[in-house]
Amino acid sequence: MNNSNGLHWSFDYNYGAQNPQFTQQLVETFLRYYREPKTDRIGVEATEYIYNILPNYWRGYAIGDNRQDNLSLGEVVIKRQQVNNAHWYYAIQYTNRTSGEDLQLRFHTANDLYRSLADKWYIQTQNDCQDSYSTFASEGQRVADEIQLTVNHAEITVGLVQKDVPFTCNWALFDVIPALSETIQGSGEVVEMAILEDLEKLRPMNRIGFLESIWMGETQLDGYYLYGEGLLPSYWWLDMGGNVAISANFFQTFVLREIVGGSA
Amino acid sequence: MNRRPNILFINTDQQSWNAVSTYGNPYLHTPNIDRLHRNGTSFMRSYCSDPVCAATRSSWATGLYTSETGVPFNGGYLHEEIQDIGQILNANGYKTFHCGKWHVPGRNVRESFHTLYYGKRDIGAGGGEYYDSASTHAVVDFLTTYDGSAPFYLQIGYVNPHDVCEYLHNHEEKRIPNPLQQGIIAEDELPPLPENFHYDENETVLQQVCRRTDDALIHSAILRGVRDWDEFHWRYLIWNYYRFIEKVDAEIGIVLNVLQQTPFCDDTVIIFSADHGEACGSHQMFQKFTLYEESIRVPFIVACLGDGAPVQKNRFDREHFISGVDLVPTVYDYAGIDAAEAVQINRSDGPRLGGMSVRRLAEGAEIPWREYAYVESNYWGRAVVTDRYKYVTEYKPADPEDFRPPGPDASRLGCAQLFDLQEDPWETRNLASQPRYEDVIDSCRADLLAQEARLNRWQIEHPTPRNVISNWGDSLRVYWEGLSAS
Repeated sequence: MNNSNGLHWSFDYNYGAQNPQFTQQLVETFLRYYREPKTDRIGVEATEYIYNILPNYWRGYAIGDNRQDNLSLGEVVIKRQQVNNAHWYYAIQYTNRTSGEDLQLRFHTANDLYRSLADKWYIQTQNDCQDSYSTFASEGQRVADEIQLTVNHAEITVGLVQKDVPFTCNWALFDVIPALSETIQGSGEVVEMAILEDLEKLRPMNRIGFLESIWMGETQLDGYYLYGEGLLPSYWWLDMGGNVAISANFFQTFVLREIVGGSA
Repeated sequence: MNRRPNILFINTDQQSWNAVSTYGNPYLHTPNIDRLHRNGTSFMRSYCSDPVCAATRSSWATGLYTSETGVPFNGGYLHEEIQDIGQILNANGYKTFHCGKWHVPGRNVRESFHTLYYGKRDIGAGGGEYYDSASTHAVVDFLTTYDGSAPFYLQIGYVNPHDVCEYLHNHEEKRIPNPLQQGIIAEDELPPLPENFHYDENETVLQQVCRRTDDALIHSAILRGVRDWDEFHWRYLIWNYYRFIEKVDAEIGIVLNVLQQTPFCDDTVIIFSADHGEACGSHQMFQKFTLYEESIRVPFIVACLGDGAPVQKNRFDREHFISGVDLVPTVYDYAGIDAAEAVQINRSDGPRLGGMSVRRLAEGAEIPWREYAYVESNYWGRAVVTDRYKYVTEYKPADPEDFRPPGPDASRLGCAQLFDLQEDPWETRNLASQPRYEDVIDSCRADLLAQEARLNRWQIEHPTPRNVISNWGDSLRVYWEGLSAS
């Protein structure tokens, strides 16, 4: 842990202009959930995990002309639903108030440990900046080893993934890492897989491994790392219920705010 | 090419010339920038006009050196009399589009370009994680829907790998455990320390005051933060820097893939470059602002994915010196605009373009070309890079500063560095004090002064840059006085 403010180094962005709001708001969000979990996971088919997005900015996100009480730059809602006790359907809504982009992703995965991407997937964005870009839509699929995207009739290949390589979307990692945690932590080994970032950018070589366990408040968190080509390292902290409580990549820290619905 | 081509200027932020895999760097993977090289000519002696974002971008916007634009550092302000590339192209039958980072203070990008995407809060430093992705969406949306009614000029300003600055700021106060010891990363994945990690401390006063002293004018908190870094920390910085580049490379890949599928593929000339480099541990330095190669030398590729533009493909040009001021005349050349005729400055004593069109070089032609690169830095810093040598010097601050950027004035020149780039490409031995190099220094100094005599500097009027000049000048004078006293 970082002794200065109690945050683990992997999600300690309480510095520069964000000192002390970052710690305050991360801890506040975290503790609010674990003290008063608004969770009713029984008997509901779909589950939504809602994360607050804190900015990992040195200059500070909410300063100067952008001064505001809430440091959060947006939220992400990860909704998943098992269909016919078989494959999984995901709907991701990522809202970023600084980029102005509202990203909606829809995809299906197999019911396996890696939540392997299956069928077609869809990307829909909306942008509310004052510029000409307002919407964007594309769909993708895997054809043999080829990862293909179609945008306004333009068909492109974003890369190749061999069939025997585990392959999923980064947003499914919120389920994949918990599913793999026992294996990884028990064996001390790493799991390698290919990731399609935001269903668009192929990151072919990544590995997930165990980092360490920590306590935050009264909650034990088990940490995992994701390292790979084309990705900055990210760190994933699972609570004792197997939920990703905190995930920090380079520029954003996701803090679990709410779970709505049934079991994942 | 029957009609005037479309021109696509893709720029990254803070990417050194050697941070491209096809140039022989085994520690990163940039298949899409590599693809640009395969479809064009890479100019391996390309230098930015000034190694900091706003300054170099003011050159990209105007074709002028930064002592002429009014933006000799990030806090500058573009002289309002100077027209920019968007305004000129718009007036000459092009539709001009901007997407992503602009960072030319004093000029509203939305008044000079149709903006495809400029973020919610104007894109500056930081946020490549999501700004770059949104920029790509905006560009793809444009490329797949543009009606082609007029040739377009589109500039895409990606933020990454600039986010490496955030990485550095993040280490001002905290330490991370060694991922080698934690088994997260393997020894052979980490790039080695740069050859010039250990350096000759005989540097200019400007470099000392801006980047080395405890209370350095630029990012002293990072300086203090990295002072106790061990070898691992520096190597891990480089490792992370390369991941930022891979991120932006993937964005570029989507743009190229989509362009390839559009009717514009054949008749779109692509220019790729970066505003400046990243020291990444060389000379135990970080970020930019210095006149060492890692900071000022950048990739510059002219390419065409189709056959519509006669660009020599898969070729390295290791001979010609390219400057950041060359972008504008190159674009004008492709656009059929006479650079000499183009009205740039709404003032009779205004400067004229200092750059040269790279077009004929990209086509493989032999044409008369400059014999050295000229680079400015931190208002008072100057460098001349010749075929063999690099000469770095500085102007002593005037007392009081008159806010007209210095030069050419031999009497005010301060300390010097001279590197033999043939024998010492890593710039580790300053030869400036050795008598046998006096002639070389004289020659470089003559080049410098001749170059500066061609520039036209106006008084900087805006109070923000005036404050910077005053404050920095005070610190420099104190340092110089200390040297005199000792």
